[in-house]
Order: sequence, then structure tokens, then C-alpha cells
Amino acid sequence: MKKLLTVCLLFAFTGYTSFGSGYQVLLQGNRITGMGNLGVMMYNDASSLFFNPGAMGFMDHNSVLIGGNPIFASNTYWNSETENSNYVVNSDNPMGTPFHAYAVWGPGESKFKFGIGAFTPFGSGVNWGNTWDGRDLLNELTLRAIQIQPTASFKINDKISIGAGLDLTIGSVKLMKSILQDGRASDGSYSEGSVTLDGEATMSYGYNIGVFYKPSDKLDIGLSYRSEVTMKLEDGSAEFEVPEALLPFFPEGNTFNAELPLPSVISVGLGYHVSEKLTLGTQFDLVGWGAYKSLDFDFKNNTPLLDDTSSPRNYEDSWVLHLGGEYLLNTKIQLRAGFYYDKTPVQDGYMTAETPDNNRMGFTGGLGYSFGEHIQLDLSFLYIYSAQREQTVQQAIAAGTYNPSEGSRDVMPGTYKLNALIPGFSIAYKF
Amino acid sequence: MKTWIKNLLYILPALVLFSACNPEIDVPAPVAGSADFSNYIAVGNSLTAGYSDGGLYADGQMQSYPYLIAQQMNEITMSEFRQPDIPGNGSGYLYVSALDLTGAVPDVTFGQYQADQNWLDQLDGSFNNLGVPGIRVKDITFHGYGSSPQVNPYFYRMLGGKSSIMSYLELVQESQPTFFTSWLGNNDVLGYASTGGAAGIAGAPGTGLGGLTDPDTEFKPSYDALVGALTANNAKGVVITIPDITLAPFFTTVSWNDAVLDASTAGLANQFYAAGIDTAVEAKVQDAVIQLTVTQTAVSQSVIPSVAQGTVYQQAYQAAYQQAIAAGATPVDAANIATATADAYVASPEGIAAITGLEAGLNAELQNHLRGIHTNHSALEPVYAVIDNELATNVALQTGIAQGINDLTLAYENDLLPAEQKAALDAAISQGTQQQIVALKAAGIYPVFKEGPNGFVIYVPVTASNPLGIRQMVAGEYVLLTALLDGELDGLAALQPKADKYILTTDEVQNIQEYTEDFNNIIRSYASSPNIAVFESNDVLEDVNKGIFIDGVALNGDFLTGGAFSLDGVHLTPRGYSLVANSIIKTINDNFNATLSPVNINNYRAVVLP
Repeated sequence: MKKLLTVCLLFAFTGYTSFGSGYQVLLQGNRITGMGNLGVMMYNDASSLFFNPGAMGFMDHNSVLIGGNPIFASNTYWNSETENSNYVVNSDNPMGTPFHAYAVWGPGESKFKFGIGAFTPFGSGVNWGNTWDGRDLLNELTLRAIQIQPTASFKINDKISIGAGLDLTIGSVKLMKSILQDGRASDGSYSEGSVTLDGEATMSYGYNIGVFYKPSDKLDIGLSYRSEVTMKLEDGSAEFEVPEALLPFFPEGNTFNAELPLPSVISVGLGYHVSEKLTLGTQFDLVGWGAYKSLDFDFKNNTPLLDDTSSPRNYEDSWVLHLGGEYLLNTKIQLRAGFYYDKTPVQDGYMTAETPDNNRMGFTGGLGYSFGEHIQLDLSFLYIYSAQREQTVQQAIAAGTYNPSEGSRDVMPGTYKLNALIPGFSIAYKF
Repeated sequence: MKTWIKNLLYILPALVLFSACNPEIDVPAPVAGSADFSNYIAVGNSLTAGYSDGGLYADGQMQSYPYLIAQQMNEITMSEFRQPDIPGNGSGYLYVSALDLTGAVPDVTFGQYQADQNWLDQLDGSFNNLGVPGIRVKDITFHGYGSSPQVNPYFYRMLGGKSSIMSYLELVQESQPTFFTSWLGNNDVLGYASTGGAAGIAGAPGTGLGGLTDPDTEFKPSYDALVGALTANNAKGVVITIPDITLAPFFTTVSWNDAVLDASTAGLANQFYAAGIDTAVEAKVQDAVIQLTVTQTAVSQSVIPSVAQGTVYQQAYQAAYQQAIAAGATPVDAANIATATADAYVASPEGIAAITGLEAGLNAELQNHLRGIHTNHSALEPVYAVIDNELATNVALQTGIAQGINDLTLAYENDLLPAEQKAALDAAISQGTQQQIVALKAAGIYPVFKEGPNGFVIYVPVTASNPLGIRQMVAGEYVLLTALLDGELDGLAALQPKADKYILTTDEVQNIQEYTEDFNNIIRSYASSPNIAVFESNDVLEDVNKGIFIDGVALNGDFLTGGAFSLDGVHLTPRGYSLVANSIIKTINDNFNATLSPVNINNYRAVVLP
């Protein structure tokens, strides 16, 4: 078993895999993760800075919290759209390493809380390799978005608190794919061409606002809005490995511009304290994936063989429904469990190799342990199950992502399946 | 920490392994249906051997279509598929040594990898891939086809430890397939086609390429024997028809009218041909005009007067004679009367007028008559017949005319003629030359170039109707790739007449198509057996030529860039062969209830670029 584990880890070591729908990453605090990602109506945890700046005002302490979640995820593709094909490939995704870090502090008995957080709300990492049947579309993709959020919260009274933060967003995209033309090396061997697009995003800005309302001792209500941010990649490097005869068409030092939307999220949630020990809650998120219309690469130097590309995505807005709870076993140990259903934003015919997405179910569990007054450790695990999803040739043709007569494709028709298991930890120092 | 927490720490990674490493999709496993793939034997020629880029070499052989099919069969029935492994560069093969794609037309330079020094070593044992490059159906019963590398080196290689006079059919009999594919017959037309029909129709067994195989006396008996050998143990299999070879880039890369010229080059080309042809035509017309002039003068002066007089005399004589007989005279008396009457008539003014009139009439049509142009002079035909007879039999007349032609030619060419006569001759020669040129151009014999595409000029046999021995190509004819590779189409050389070996004429194309159809009908006749499926390979070739798109890969029939055809323009690339493999797999699945999985086309390469 141990050996097998090593193998699995070796195959999956750097970068990220998305595990919210699309390329959203819902791992910003393992107390929250353990409860089915119920966040917006939770309070008294530094991760409120992310989930609901409004709830930050209800924190009864100052806190520094850091955490992370290694993601083990794998995609499988079956060429079910070709008659009798038993061609199956598994992606060797890098282990994703999203992290979160928060510091929240309020001066004495002030109604203000100030905080700063850094986290990774979006990201994706998938590696199909450079021998699979869709390598002309994608070998490997690593998408990272990091947000740094200075935040302030104001507790208006004992029942209501508001907060807002500014999201400074940076990130990067690295995408590799094969060019299905073999070139000959000097020793007579031959190999396929490839392209690597690697770009850093310039700083862009968004905001995060929220309100937390506690109408009674039993009830917590949260509402938050995280704005859409457009990640702008400028002058990213576009490196082409092609046969010498094609070099004139793929000049060295080419660059590209691209944009990627990080969609808005509206969350509303309700928490209910059943007893002193048991809290249950539910949350609904609306994710503005409709902003993701197409993925366009604008190359600085176009040639007869290198046009700018525009690949339709046409995501639709999606939603997530969460259920979860926390049980205080004793003064030290908290047990958590939860479930969420994450509707895919990817419509039929638009399922790409980057995000072969389907509706997902997340099953979570968690454990909190208080080492005395100051140290809190939260462990969580999350198992994501996604039913296999078939994308037919007809769907892709109808979507305009596959054109057998003109010879273009943005997607691979076929059947995809994803699952992921994500353990995580957060550790907080409270004072 | 409590033990259950410790346990959790073990359980989590275990879940990771089971859940995250391999999402399971339920994929149906392939089945053999009613077929038995435990000993798959592939019979065929170069296409079956994996020949590519003008040679058989290791990399190509490892991507032969039978090998690809065997890999898929292995998912059902594991068994070794043995090929007569060729080392390294094998027989040597073509590669693209330089390619400039920046111009309007790709500028390609080919190189040739040298043969591996051991490629002719014989191999022991039995093989599953029995593809022998070059073999024709008519060769399979030939004892000695593998007796030395000079006859067929590829078959020779397979006969290690076997009788050197073993025939291909005997090798097939030994192989005892449980399943087979057979793709033979291409070379029975290809040899003829790839040499532009230059080798003619004949071509004995064992003589390599060239010629066409007779469908009834050569093809059918051999093919029957082959299928008999393959099915001896009730094996099932696929017989594959011969594609229309003229769809391959070897025949389609250069079109009949690919002499594309700008206006000034077209003008130069016309001048070039005019310089040669006009002079020749003019010389011929001059000879004809002088001969006509002299003959006309001689006939007019020394034949027509006497013939006219004789004709008028005869007419008067006959009329008087008939009249006398009718009046009751004896034949002798009538003859005397007629003689007297005719004598008097020709001396009379009316008689003289009649003679003069006839002379004028004959002279008026004489030139046309001598040129063989028959206008409206049917009444005079008998008289011209007398003149023709004179010309044919009167030696003195002939001598005189010959002398006259000689004299006039000398005088004309040395400019010794009176101005008026020279001008008349000049005019006649000029007019005749122009008429001849117009006629040759109209017949497509005299090349005419214009701006834009033009038919290439080819050599053809000299005939009465084609005195030039050349003509321009017409639609439906093919220029072979060898013309391009031999530099025949470079620059202005493209405008020179092309040898027959570079061309398939309409007749030759028709031969190829008829023979291919005859062979294919023989192959198709096996479809009536429940154990044999027929794969129409032309369907694939037609798809490719139309241009298809499979798994992110575009394939079309273009030379070099089309993806399916290798650098020799006839054989396929590994990618092309993978397409064939998938089509055969589909045929197997459809006919034997099997579910062999197709291969991924884009795992196999197209032409490798420098």
C-alpha cells in the first residue's frame, strides 16, 4: 500500500486541479471544507475574510490562520464516440496545492476588525500527457489565480455586521499542446511538434462584500458577493517546437495576450444552532460562469499557419447547494460533516480537455482539535464524485466546437469522468 | 492521539489511491465474434508489407496495417504476429532533405537513405505478414520468384531455410491461417500505370513490374488458387479490392494542364514552338505548292488540250454513230459516217468552241482536283479520270513534272523567278501555311499557349493526321509524379514535349480502369462465401481524396502535405495505413460480429518534415 501511494504521489506532484465546477477552487478553510463548504453564515473563524467579510465583525478574537489542501484528482477519458473503441486514458494530474492564509485583528473592544488574506479561489491543473488522442488540444494545463484581500468589517450591533475587501488578483496560465506534425532530428529520429503558452497575469482588482445577521441565538444568516475579476495575460511567451521547415511560420520570441474571467459568486446561507453542541446549516451559491464566453489567444506575430484562436466556451451560470454541520464532541474536539452539489457550468458540446466537467457531489468530513486556548487545528477531507459524462459528436457539432467537414475541433467527443480526494489542514493561532 | 484518528490518517491515503488515481469507466471489451484470430495471416504486396517512401524499412514495417490490426486482435487473442523484420533503413528510402514553404509553390528537395547492408539476409521461420513488395497475382505460382535477390529480394528474404524455388502460393499454403486478409492485384495494373503504359500490355510472370495481367487466363486461376490455400482450414478472412490507382498523388499531383503561364511566357512558348513548327510546315507547304504549280502547268499545257479535243471528238463520233445505226446503217458504214462527222465537227467553229470550253472548264477546276478537293464538277469526273490516268502512266509527263519541280524549286529558292510569279508563289505558300497551321492548332497538335493553365506537350507517334509527332494533353490524361521528380517540369523545361513514360493517355487510363474493374469483379465474386468479406479499398482512397478529418487530423490526397501518402506518391504513410487498418477492422466487425477496437489515427505519423 505504501509503495502504491508513493507511485500515486510521484505521478501527481506540482500545480493544481480544479475541483469546484469549472476552474473554481473551494478550499479556503478546512473547518468550512469539513462542513460541506458551508461558509457564508459561519463566524468566529478567520476564513470569514474569504467567505463573508461581514461575519468577520463577529469574531471574538484575533487570529492568524494558515492551511492548505493537497489535491489528488484524476480524469478519465473514453473514446466512446468511435464505434467499438476501447481507447481509455487517465490523466496524470499534478497534485494541486491550494493554500490559504489569513490574519484578522481588531483593536480592543472596537467594532472594527481588520484583516488580510491570501488564497487561491481559482485554479486548475490537468495533465493528459503528450501521447493521448487529444494532445493536439491539450497536453497539460496549469492555471493559478492568487488573491490578496485586505478587508475591514464593522459590527453595527449585536445582530448585524458588514464587511468589505479589495481583491488584488494575480495569476498565471501555462498550457502545452502537441502539433501533430513530425519533424526529423539530425539523427534521423522524428518527433511531434508542440506549443507552450506561458503567461503571467497583470494585477487586476475585484472586491468582496458581505453582511452577517444574527437575528437570534439560534440563527445565523450570511450573504456575500465576490465580484468577477478578469485575469489579463499580457505578452505571455508562445514557444513553438516545430520542424525546421515550419520555423518561418512560428517565429521565435512570439508572445500572446489572453483573458480569463474569474466569475462572481453570490452566496446566501443559513445556520441553525440545534443545541449547544450541534450546528446545522445550508448555503446556496450562484456562480457567474456565464462570463466565460470563449478562450481567445491573440498572438503578436500571426503567420499563414498561426492565426489568433478563439475557442467557444459559453459557460452558463451555475449554482452550488451545501448542507453541513458541526458537532462539539467535547471542549477539544469538533466533528464535522457535509455534502454539496455543484452544478456544472459546462454545457453539452463545450466540454473541453482542460475542464472535462460534470455535475459534482462533494462528501466532506472534518475534525477540529483545540490545543488549549490559542491553537486550533482543523483537518478535513473531501471526496468528489462526478458521474461519467458523455459528449456526443452531434452535441459538439451543434455547439460549433467540432467540425468534421472543415477539420476543426475545440473539444474531444467522448466520455469523461472525474474524481478527486482532497485532504486538508488549517492551523490557527488565536489571541 | 486516539487510535481512530491514527486510523483515519491511513484510511485517507487509501481512499486517495482508490478514488483519485483511476475513475472507472465501464468500457466494453472487444470480442472476436465468429472469427478466430489465433493465427492471422496477411497476404499482399508492398502495401501489406508496410512499404513507404519508396522503400521497406523498419519504422514503416512496424506500422504496417496488418501489424496494427494484429495489435487490436491481441486485445482478444494474444498471439505473436511475426513480420519478416527488416533492419534499420531496409531497402533504403526517400526523405525530405529540404523544404521551403515560404514561396508560392513548395520547394522540395529529396534525399535517399542508403540501404542497410544486411537487408538482404534471409530469415528463417514462418511469418504472419506475407506482404511482398512488387508481387503480382500472376507471380504467385512462379517457382523461382524468391530464388535470388534479383528476382524479388523481398520474397527471397522470407525463404531462409526453405527451398529456393518455393512459390509464393506454397508459402501461403504453409501458413495455415485461422484468419486472413488478402490485398493482392495492385501491381497487376500498377506496373503498367507507373511507367505511363510504356511497357505495353505484355509482362510474363516473374519479370517484375510492367505490363498488364490478363484477367481471365492469368488473374483468375491464380487468385482462385490463393483463396483456396487461405481457406483450406475453413479460415475466415477479408479479400481487398484494388483501388483506382489514378487517385494516388503519383498521378494527381501534376494535372494535365499544370503548365501555368503568364502572358509573356505564353508568348515566348508560342514563339518557341512557332519557330520549329512554322518552318517545317512552310517547307512542306512550299513543296506542295511548287508541285501543284508545276503539275497544274504541265497538265494544263500538255494534257488538257489533247484530252479536251479527244473528248469532244469522241462525243461527236458517238452521237453520229448512234444516229447512223438508228437510221439503219451497218456498223461499218456508221463508223465511217461518224468519223467523217467528228472530223468535220472538231474543225468547225462550233467544235473548236466546244473544245475551248471544255479546256476552260477543266482548267478552272484543275487545281482543286489536283489538291483532292472535289467541288461541283461531277460531270467532268470521267475527263479528270483520263487526266489522272495520264499522270499515273505517262512517263514523259512524270519526268517533265519532276524536272519542272526541281527547276522551279531552285529558281524559287534562289530568287530567280520573275517578280510576278514569285509573288504568286509566295502568296500561295503563305496562304497554304496559314491554313495548315490553323488546322493543326484546331486538332490540338500544334501547341497553343495562353495566359493561365495550359496542357503539357507530349510526344506521340507520327501519323498521317499528326505529321508533327507531338500534341497537347487533354482533360482526363495524367502526368506522373516521376516527371516532377526528374525535373521535367522545372521552369521552361516544363514546356518541352514529354516522353510517353511520364504520361497516361486517355487510352492508357481506360486500360487501367478496365483491367482494375475486371480484377475487382473476380475478387468480389468471393463475397458469396460466408467466410469471406470484401473490403472495397477504393472507398478509403476516395474519402482521402475528398479530404477527411479524423481525431484532430486532416487527411487528403495531396502529395507531401496530405498526410496519407508517402513520398513515393503511391504507398501510404503510417497514418494512411492506420486508416486502412481501421477500415479493415470495421469490415471484420461488420461481417464476423467481432468488436475489434479501432486504432488511433494520430498515433501514426504522416510525412516527416525536415
